[in-house]
Amino acid sequence: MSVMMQGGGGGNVEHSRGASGLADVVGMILDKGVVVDVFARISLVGIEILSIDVRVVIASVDTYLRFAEAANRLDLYSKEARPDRLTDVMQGITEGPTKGIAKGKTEGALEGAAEQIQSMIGGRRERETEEEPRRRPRQ
Amino acid sequence: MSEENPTYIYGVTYAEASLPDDLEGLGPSGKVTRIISGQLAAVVGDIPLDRPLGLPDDYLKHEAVVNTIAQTDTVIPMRFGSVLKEIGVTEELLGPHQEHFLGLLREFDERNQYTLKSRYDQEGVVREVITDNENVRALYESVMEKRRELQRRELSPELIEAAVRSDNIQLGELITKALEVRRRQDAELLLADLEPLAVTGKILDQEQPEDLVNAGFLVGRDRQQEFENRVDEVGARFPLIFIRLIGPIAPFDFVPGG
Repeated sequence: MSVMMQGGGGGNVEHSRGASGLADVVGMILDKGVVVDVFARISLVGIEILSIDVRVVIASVDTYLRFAEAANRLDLYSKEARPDRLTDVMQGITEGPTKGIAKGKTEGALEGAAEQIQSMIGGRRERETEEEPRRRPRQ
Repeated sequence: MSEENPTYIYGVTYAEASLPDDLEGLGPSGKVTRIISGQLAAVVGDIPLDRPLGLPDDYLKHEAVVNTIAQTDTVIPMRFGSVLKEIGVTEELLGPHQEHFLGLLREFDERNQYTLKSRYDQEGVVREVITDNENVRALYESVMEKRRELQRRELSPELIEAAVRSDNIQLGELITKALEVRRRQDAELLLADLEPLAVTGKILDQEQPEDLVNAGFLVGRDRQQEFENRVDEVGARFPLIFIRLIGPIAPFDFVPGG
């Protein structure tokens, strides 16, 4: 489900009646819910389930660098603006909260997940019948 | 349908709950039907037999079926990929476990989950961290000064970035640590305002390094509007925090096994 609506409060709250996109869905339902084979072992059909291993964990250094890049982009003290005139600079920056980098990352992760799944469908097809080794995607 | 047919189970509802018309299943028929046993109904459908389950579309369909039902009725979500022979749905799953599932349905009666995901407006919060924190500001200034100095020497941008890389890592580390402190404080404030409106709440896994806090809340149907309004109010008080509120959805993070 992906019924979206804008929140009535600030522009920084987004309401969504269900998951929007694969990244949301995978985070919402994977490894959640009542497990059927606790109740019904005998008639469980050996059904093949693709494993999802979407690795979007970012090494600390990369994270640090990204924060540093965000800091560098700000350029709080350009040639005209010196530290003692910081307030003026701050007042000049009036943009509201943007999704910016964070949004881009999510979309990147989502595409990554889709690609990962596509490649698994194309490539690996091992049988994983009983305990599906599905791992929680880190995204 | 034969009793041997592999049957996909989306969830379990009360027998008297009716299915919405617009459900689309993940099987080739696209149908979503019910198998009733006693006071329970399993929400079921067919499955594709020519390929493994787990295509993106399978996940999307599973989620849509369960959450569409959750808008109007109590539904206990089954884990993705739950498949039984058709006869097993009544003889093994529902028949012998009436009390168990009825107990679950009662526990989540008229209650749905909301998932709150929050993260900082990265540039905004980094700007605040730099201006509020003397150590960070000092290092930031020195990195900027070093970069300007190298620019004056007309070095190539690639060379300049390489030269300031280790300073940048250090700067990023300081910012990350300062953010950690702030994150804990803000998360507490954020959740404290919402918890009183929920039956219960729990912290969910962080998904991105920028995430502030992700949490699931079990909210009574009669308080949904109030809860949604409160999230808007909280959002208005924290302009540097970007919030996504997903729900009402089925209680994925609160049913056992979740």
